[in-house]
Amino acid sequence: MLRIACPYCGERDYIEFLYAGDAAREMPALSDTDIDRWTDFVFFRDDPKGEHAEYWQHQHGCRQWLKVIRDTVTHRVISVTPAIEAGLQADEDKVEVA
Amino acid sequence: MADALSALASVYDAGPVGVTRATPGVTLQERPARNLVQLSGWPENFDTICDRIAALLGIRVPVDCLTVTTHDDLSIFRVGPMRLWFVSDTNSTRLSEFLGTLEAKDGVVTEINHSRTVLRIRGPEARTVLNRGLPIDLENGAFPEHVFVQSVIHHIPVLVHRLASPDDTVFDVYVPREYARSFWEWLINAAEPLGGQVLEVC
Repeated sequence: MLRIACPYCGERDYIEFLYAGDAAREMPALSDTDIDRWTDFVFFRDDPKGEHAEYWQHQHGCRQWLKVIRDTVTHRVISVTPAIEAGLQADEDKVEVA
Repeated sequence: MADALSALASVYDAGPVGVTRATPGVTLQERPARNLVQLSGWPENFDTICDRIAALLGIRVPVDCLTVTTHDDLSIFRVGPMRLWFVSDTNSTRLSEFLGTLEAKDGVVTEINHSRTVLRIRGPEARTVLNRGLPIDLENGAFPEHVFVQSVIHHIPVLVHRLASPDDTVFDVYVPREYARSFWEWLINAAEPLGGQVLEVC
């Protein structure tokens, strides 16, 4: 049984959550006209063995979007972060890189 | 305004359910429509709104998504980090006045009175009945009075609130109106082996 520790509601069964996709993808810039990069972003996904970043929504609880790092081999949940915070962190990282 | 019709009107029969016991293991009762208002805030100023609620309504907004705070007849459920439910049995003038002060930049106010059917489940077997479908520990240590959870029973999203009571274990369960009949059927089935009693709508 997969159980996810929601930062707001506590540890819950996965039936309360909605899997919402791969969180490791990075969307090309809207001005990017490279068809291969867009094709890769829209249609192709990695299938990693081990840690994987995913978006989940606590659909039947607080309804918050979460970024979950999960081991695809053992289903162990390694970390859970509110997506809004993870997103802000990513934005800050981008600023630092720039 | 026309009175709201209960979603359970055609299936609600007061009386014993299942096995007969000297005292019912659990009582089931629909509560009349309550005043239920949802406030969804914005990240930039939600703390300020919470301070205004404390100042104008005299109720501290819960710090987590599990606790209910109550003052007089008005309760606040923090159903999300920036989403509140105001619940009362009567029309609260103070609440109306406070909501009237809110602008779009403060948050979004939605009346959801008629979107939920509220059921009161009481008695020594109340936990057992709920735990037939609710994957949450309802024992005293894990789920004390004034605590609530949002979860799923019978594939139906529910909010379960434990009320303060010196005698019995008492829960109010908020069920989306569109699933109320399905939930009621599940509840009756779950209560039958434990000896239940459906009470008149209070």
